[in-house]
Amino acid sequence: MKMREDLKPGNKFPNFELPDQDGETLQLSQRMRGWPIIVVFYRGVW
Amino acid sequence: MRDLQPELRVNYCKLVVVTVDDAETSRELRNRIGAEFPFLIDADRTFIEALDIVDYTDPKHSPIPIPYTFVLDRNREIYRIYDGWWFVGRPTVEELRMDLRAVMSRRPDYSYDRAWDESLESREGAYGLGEVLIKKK
Repeated sequence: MKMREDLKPGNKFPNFELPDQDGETLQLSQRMRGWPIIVVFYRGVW
Repeated sequence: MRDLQPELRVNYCKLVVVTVDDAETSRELRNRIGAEFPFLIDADRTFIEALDIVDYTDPKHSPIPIPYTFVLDRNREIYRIYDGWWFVGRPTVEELRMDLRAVMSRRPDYSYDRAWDESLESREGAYGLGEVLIKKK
């Protein structure tokens, strides 16, 4: 499977919103507050 | 990633982990490794499916995310993508550091400007850096 086509350098990453480990909803841009960010996708604890 | 935390802290850069584990498992892992960054819970796989970064090859745990890492600038523009399906595709701490350096160097205030010494107004006008400098005083 190929990743969504618009996910490539130079394009904007979605401003997604998910709950954190404590149940608080967090939006990406709110976390960034105008600074760079690294988004890591983790496969989970096996 | 934990090893990068001190540098992220002093450079105001952020890190988030998107995981398909539940909140309790993520809390335990986060505490165990001493992570300061949040784990964002995508247990129902909605977000990874929306991005088409799902791996169905593992019969026991699928669907799971392909372990991509994205480095974004301050405007959410994608600077670098690491495809970590193979382990060698995953970024090292040093690679991430170099990426953040490149992204940070896009700022107009990346290099020191002597004018900042001369007036509060010039510091405040320097792309927001004034606030940082003033806080440090």
